[in-house]
Amino acid sequence: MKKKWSAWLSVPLVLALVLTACGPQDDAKETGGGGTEERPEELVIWENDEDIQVKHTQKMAKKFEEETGIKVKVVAFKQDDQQQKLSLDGPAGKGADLVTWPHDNNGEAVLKGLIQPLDVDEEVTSAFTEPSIQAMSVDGELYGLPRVTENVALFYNKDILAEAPESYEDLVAFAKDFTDPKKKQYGFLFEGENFYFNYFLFDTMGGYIFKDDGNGTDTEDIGLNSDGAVKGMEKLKELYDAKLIPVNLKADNLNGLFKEGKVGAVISGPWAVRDYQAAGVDFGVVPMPTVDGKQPNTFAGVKGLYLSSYSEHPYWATELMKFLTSKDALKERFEDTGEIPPVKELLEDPVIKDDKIVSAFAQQSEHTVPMPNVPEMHQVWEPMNHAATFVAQGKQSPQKALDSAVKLINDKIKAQQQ
Amino acid sequence: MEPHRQPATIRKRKWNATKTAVLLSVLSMGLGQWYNRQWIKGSLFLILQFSYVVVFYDIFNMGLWGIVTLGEKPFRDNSILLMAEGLIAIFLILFGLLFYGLNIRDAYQVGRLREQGLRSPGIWASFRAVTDKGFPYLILFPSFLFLVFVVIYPLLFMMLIAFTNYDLYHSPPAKLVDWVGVDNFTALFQLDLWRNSFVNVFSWTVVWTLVATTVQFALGLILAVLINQKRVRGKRFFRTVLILPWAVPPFITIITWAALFNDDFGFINQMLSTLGIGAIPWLTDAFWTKAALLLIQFWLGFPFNMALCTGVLQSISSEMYEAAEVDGASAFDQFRSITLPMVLYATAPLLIVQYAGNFNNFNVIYLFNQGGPAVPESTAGGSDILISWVYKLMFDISKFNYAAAISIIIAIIVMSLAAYQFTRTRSFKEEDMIQ
Repeated sequence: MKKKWSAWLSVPLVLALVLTACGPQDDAKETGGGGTEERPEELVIWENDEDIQVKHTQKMAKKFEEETGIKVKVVAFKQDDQQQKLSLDGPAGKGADLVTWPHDNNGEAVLKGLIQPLDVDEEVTSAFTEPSIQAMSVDGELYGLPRVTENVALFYNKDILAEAPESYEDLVAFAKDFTDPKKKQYGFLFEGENFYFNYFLFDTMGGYIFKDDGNGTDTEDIGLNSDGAVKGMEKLKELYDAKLIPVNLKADNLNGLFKEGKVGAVISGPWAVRDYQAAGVDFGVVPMPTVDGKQPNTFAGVKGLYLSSYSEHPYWATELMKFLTSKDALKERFEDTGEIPPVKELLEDPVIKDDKIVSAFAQQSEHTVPMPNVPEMHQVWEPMNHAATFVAQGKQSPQKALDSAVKLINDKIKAQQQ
Repeated sequence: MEPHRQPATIRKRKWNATKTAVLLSVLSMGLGQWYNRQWIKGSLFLILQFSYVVVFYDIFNMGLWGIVTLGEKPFRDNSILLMAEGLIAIFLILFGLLFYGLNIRDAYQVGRLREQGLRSPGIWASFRAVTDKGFPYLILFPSFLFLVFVVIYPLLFMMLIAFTNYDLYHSPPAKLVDWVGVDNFTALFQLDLWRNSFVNVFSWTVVWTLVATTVQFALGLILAVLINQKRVRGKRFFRTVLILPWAVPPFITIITWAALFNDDFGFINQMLSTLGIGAIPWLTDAFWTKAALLLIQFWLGFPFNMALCTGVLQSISSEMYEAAEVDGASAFDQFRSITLPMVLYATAPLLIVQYAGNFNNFNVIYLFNQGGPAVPESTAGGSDILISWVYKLMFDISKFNYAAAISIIIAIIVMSLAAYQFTRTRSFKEEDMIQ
């Protein structure tokens, strides 16, 4: 006996080798399938840690309990950190059944095996807008249901522009008249060196990020230096050549100028509305102006609910998810939080139609492309932002800038998958 | 057994009590002590050993299995957590071995005592010996433990990551992580992403380190000497004002500086325009960004050096200066032959620490302009130093294993340079400069 201990303690290396035969006892549980699943006592949902959002979800959780008798525990937790937390808490059995985050993380979450595909009917999914369901899907599989969609639109200062120009061309023409950098006065501004904001120009001229044939994204096929994309970049270059937008313009400068009433129009998102209102600017919001007579697509950011791989009650968790993303629940959510629901019927609802600002975003939301949710998308942002910067600074021609950006994106994707 | 009394030459060849005690102790803790008739101590040792094994059995079992295999089944085994557990198990084993060694040593020493015909010390005597002789160790033990788990543990963990394939495509729970030996280090040098930028980044890193540190030290020294002059009034006021940049959290000041340096809307360019010099592209031109960064680092770094040099200046005896004046040395001569050598002698180690710190000064570089401005055809920004570039690149592409590997390489570079400097500084030579 004692001899054994000493072997234990004095020869850890040998022991390590011996122990490779030991290790954990396998106790993997088989999770029950669909409708036969027992009713759980309690489901856990992680909600983003904004007060109004948490309050709304708590209210809904009570309603769900009245209907089904299942308690729902709502835990407030920053959405950007939920993935990390789930990968640690899930295996320890402390995870949630439902989690939430912006859709561009979905590719990674699926790769890591944190969320599982949903089992829902066509009639559930058909209520949502096409881009939002696309945002919730990875490789043609549906992993979540959308709750909120977010996109940019055109804000215009009513003191400077009596009404918003219908077309981008008119807007640029106005900007050429009105802009005077010496007086810090600009006709039309947006963060031109930020791919999130300048994407609409690439899109309308026929550029694309990754080829997507509807059931999966082909990251080998990048269309950011295609003829269309180059045309888009040339449109951007015109703005900088005419000194309509200052080089290296960042959000805080743009917001500052708009709030001082020195800018005719800006491209921005719903997150800026309260800020501008608080500054006392008399502004209106309209959908994006047409470029070359076409309504341009902007990026959509969709926030959804996802079913954790660690959930022991996938059936009931899915029921809860359906409940929280139902038409009535999302209508109430809009009233509580002001977040625009990606539900076709609600976008036509008077509650949104009658709100001039919200309806502008809602109308534009039907012309959106969800940001690709593949992990390779992370490699696109920086090179594309920089390409715009080099064009703005006159360091590179649009073709050259985009060619090297695409080369860089390809190199980085290669390194990522190495 | 009777205690032996024999000449040393014979004792070496004969089997004796000491060897028996040691051997028994090697077999199990406490046996040697029993043999030495230290019943209580022996029993305590035995209980300690027994509880150690029983309490930590699971950790050893899981941890050692985990760190060797890094898991065998996805979803059930989380490789990264297993690695962490394995590291803890190894630490615990090392602690165990330490005590085991102490127990053998104890058996040996008491055995020797018995050979000399002395009685083995009783339990109280042993206890007193521990509290008296071992007092410093007893007191230091908690902080040592803390140090091991707060400093050494994360460092080792990071180093282990460098030898795995931990990245986005090998992330728990869906995937297992595996040991890949030194593959990361070889793969690193085959990455295309390095080629076009490494030389530029490395040379700027060296320039940045040398210029920023040297100037911040020189500025601090000059200001300290100036304020230290007898004729200067209001020493306290000046010192307080000049210490301020050090007193404000650098995070806040760097971001504030970034706003002041803004090309179009920053206060500095507005001032320059008013003076008729014209705006300077601080954030959009690589050269000017570097210049601005150096200025900010001087500003952030000089107060500490000023405080440091002020302290050293106080300790230089005034007799030296008086003697120098009698010899007809000018103020500059005095500075060159008395002040400078004295200050350098006393501050050399801290100066080296500052060089190493600036080599990896992520905060200033990243917060000021995120390593920008962007440079065409390059993955590194115009003002990126090694550490900020690697951070951006590796976390962009989620290659945690590469990030860890590069951290090791950078650490080796910095440590070897610092070690070389340390051995060369005069403070390590036996010279008695300051009485």
